[in-house]
Amino acid sequence: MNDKLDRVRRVLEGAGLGWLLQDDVEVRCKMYLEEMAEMDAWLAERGVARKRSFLEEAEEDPEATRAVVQTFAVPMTTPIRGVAYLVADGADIRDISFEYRDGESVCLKVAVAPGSGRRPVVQAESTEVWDVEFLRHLSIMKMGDQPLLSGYYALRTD
Amino acid sequence: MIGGYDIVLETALSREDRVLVVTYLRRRWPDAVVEDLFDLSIGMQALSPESISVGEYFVYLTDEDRDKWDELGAVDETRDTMVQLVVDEDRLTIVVEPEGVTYQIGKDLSESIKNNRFFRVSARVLDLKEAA
Repeated sequence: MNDKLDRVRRVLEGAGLGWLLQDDVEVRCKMYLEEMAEMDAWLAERGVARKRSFLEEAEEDPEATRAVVQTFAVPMTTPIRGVAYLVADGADIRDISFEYRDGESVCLKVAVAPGSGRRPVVQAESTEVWDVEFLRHLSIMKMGDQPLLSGYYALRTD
Repeated sequence: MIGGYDIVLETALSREDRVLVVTYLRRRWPDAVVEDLFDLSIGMQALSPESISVGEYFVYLTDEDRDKWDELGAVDETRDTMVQLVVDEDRLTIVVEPEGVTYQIGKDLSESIKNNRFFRVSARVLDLKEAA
């Protein structure tokens, strides 16, 4: 396994996802590395300026990136993973719409405002059922009687 | 302490909790100013979860309200324009004005932290209590 794939392995293990790598470690690490690069490219295409790749961010701050690393444990699509990254990074959630029909279809739409609304809204849409995982990580709050969804947080892995 | 009403969470404040507190306050009081015990202040929009560690923080509704607090102290005009956060190793105390806007903020924050805890990577909430 080359150095970069080994770095992916360490990041996943550090986030409590070592169980993902029980078989075909090299093949899986290569897949996760490609998915990380896809997310980096998706964010760049939307004008999200970042100094480092996600792999480098995850190595530097495992606690802050743990929730996004957990998105690699499910076959989440790149756009939904991208907005998960932005919300974990402090973006405001502007709109979420979710439709589900038993045995027929699912549709999740998310719009977020990076940088506390200082940058244009970024949108993602998916009909992949695994992307529903996104909703499980949100923080639920009330501001008086008003709803406030925010923050993309890690789930317990112990 | 500045008097007021204490809402106490007997738990260490996790990173997730700090994100929640910052997000809430940024939305609720977007023009707030946060000051620590050393009089170092920061605008709410620049406040990050990492800015909050063990210590005491005074969150003023606006810069003008902070000046009024400095001038008048805790009087009727100022009481409901500041929330005090006391972050200890294993406890968060939110000092607010009973029945005011700040009380709602304290309740919102304590309930949000408590309700979001059960499935997060963080310590459990040991107790939630209030004291005048």
